[in-house]
Amino acid sequence: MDMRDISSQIRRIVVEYGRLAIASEELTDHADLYAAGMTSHAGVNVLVALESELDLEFPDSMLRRGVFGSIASIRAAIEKLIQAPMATDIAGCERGISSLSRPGVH
Amino acid sequence: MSLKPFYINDCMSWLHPGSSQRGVILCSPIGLEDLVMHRFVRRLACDIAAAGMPTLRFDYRGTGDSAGSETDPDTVQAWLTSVRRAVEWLREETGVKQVVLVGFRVGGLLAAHVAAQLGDIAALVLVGPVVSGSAYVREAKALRSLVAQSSGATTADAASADDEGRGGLNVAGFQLSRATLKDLEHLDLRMLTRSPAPRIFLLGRSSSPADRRLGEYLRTLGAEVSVGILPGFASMQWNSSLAVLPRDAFAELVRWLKVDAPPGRARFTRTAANRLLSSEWREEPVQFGPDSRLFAVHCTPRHSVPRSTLLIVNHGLNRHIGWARTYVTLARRLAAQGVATLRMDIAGVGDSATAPGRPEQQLYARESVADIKAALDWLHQHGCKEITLLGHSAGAHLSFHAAVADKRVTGLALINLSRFVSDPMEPSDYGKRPTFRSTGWYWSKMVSLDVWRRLASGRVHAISIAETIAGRLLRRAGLRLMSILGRESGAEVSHTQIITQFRRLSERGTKVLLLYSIGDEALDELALYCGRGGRRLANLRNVHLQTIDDTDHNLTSRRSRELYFAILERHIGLGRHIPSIPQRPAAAARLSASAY
Repeated sequence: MDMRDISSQIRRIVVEYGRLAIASEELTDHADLYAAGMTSHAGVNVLVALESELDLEFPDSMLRRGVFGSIASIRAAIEKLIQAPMATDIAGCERGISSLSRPGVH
Repeated sequence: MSLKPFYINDCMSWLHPGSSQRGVILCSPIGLEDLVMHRFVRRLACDIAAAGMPTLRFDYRGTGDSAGSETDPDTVQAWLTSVRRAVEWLREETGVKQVVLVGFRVGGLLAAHVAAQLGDIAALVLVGPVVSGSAYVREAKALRSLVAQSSGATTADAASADDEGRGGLNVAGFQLSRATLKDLEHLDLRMLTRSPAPRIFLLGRSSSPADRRLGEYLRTLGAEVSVGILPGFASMQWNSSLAVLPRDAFAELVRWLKVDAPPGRARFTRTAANRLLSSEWREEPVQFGPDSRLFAVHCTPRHSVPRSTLLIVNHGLNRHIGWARTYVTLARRLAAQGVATLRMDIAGVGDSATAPGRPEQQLYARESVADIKAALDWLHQHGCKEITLLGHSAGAHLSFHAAVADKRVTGLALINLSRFVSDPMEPSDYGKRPTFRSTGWYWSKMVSLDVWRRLASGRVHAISIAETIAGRLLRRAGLRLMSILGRESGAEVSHTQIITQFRRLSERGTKVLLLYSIGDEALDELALYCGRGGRRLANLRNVHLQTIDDTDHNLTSRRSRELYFAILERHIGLGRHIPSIPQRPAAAARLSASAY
C-alpha cells in the first residue's frame, strides 16, 4: 500500500465527506478538521468512506475524535494499522483490520 | 386527508392507496435515523402511491407509535416479524400480486433478510445500504464516541454512559441492549445464500467500493442489480431540516419500481385494528383540523376516565414521538396514572400534512398556534376540560402563545423555551441551526484551562460562539432601548409584554412550569425577557421555574428524563416527590444534542 496514494485518497475523502467550511486548497495536512467545520456526523461519514475506499476497518479503539481530527492524524492511524496487521497488536482492538489480511486489498 | 393509520400486529401503519397490483412496503431506519429520515420515508410513500402503487409504511414493534420498547427482549426478531407481518397484511388485505420492499439503512438489512426467507418478494430497494449489523453498530459507536468527545458547547450524547455498563449502546437516547447488538451482528447481506429478490436497486450515498462490492455479491446470487446515487444523503441521514428532498433520485426510484407492474386493481378492505391496547392504556390515531390534515395519537387510561389531559406539541421538528421517543414513554406512563395525552404534529411536521400555501417544516410560525387551537377544539369536543399544554424548545414557544390566546389551557409546561418572540427578520432556518450554551455557561468556562486549550486548537467554534454572544448582547441592548423609549418596532416585543402575558396566565389560574437545563441557551432568552433566572416572574402566583443540571438541551440522559417526568408529574398533580437521582461524573454528561 503506497502511503503517498493513501494520503491523496484521505484528502479527497475528507474534502468530499467532511463538509468543511474552507476550500480544499487551504486544507493543510495538519489543519484541524473540526475547526474547519467538520461535525461529528460528517466525521462518521469520513470514517465510513475511508473504510470503504481503502478497504480497511478501524478497530473500536481508534473510533476516537482525535483520530479523525486532521489528515495527518488519519494518515498516522492508517500507518499504524498497516504496521500492525494483526488485531491483537492493537491495544483494545476488538475486531482488528480483518480486511487488510484478505486477498485483493487495494 | 384520505390516509387513516391503523395497527398491524400492534405496529402503527399507514397505507397510501394505489390501484396497481404491485404493492410497496417501506421499512424505516431505526433510532436517531428513524427520527431524522421520517420526513423522507413519508414523502417517498406519497410519491410511490401517486404513481399508482399501494404503499405501506409502519413503525417496527418497540419503535415510534407501535407497542413495546426498544429494550424489550428479542428486539431484532420483533423488527423482522414486523416486516413479515406487513408483507402478509398487504397481500391479504389489498390482494396485490407482487410485493416490493424498500428499506432505509437498517430497514434494508431487515427487509433483505425477510425477503431471502420468504423467497417471493418481487424487488428490493436498499436506500443508504447497511451491509451488516456489525457495520451499523460500528457507525453508531463511532458517532457516539465522536459526539461524546466533542466540545460541551456543541453536540454530545449524554445518554451513552447509561448503557455502557450493561454492555449496550446508547446513541442520542436510542438504546441498543447487549442482546440487540449481538442479534444485529448476525445480520449480514454478504452471508445471504440466495438472492432476496430478482431485482435489486442500491441507492447509495456515493459510488462507494463497499456498495459496488455489495452489488457484485448480490449479482453472484442471481439478482439483476441497479445502482443509483442519492445526492445529499449525509444530510438526509443526520439533519433532515437542512436536507433538500432528493426529488430526482426519488423520481428515478419510482420509475424503477413501476417497471412491468402488473395491471389490475387492488382492493382495500381495511380490516386492521384502529386502536392499540395494553393492560394500562389504549392509544388511537386521531386526525383533526382543516381537511383533517393534523395528526395526533390519543393515549388514555384503559380502565378509568382521565383526570386530566396533557396536550404535547412537537419538540422542534421531531415528529410527535419526541426526541428519543420521550413522548411515547411519557404518554404511556401518564395513562397508567390516570392522565390522558394527545401527542400532536403541527402542520408540515411529522405525519401532519402541510397546509396549502405554507412551507413544510416551519418552526415559530403564527399559523402553528392555530394548529394547537384545533387540537384544543378536538379535546373539548371529546369532553376534556382540564388541559395542560407541554412544549419543548420551539414547541414551548408555540405552547406559550397558544396558552396566552386560549383560556381552555389550564396548565402549561415549557421546557427549554428557546424563543419568546419570533422575529420575521431572522433567517427562516432559525431553530434549525445548532444550539449553543447560555452566555453564563461560556463565561463560567472561560476560567477553564481546557477550554482555552481547545480554543487555541480550534476545537471550540470560537467565531460562531462569539457571533452568538454578540447577537444576544445586541438584542438585550435593543430591548432595553425599546423599553426606555416606550415603543416597539416591527415584530419585536418588549419584555414588559411578555411579563404581562405571564401575569395574565397567572391571574387566570393557569399553572405554569418553566423547566430549563442548566447552561442551555434558553436561559439567556429567559434572562432577556424575564430577568436573570426569571426574577421578574418571581412574584407571580402559579408560575414556577425549575432547572436540571448536568444535562443537554434535549434532556437525553435517563437521569435527566426521570427528573423531567417527575417534575412534570408533580406539576399536573401526580406524585409529590422528585426522586433523588445521583449525578454521573461530569465528564460523561456534558451534552447538547442540538446538532442532530
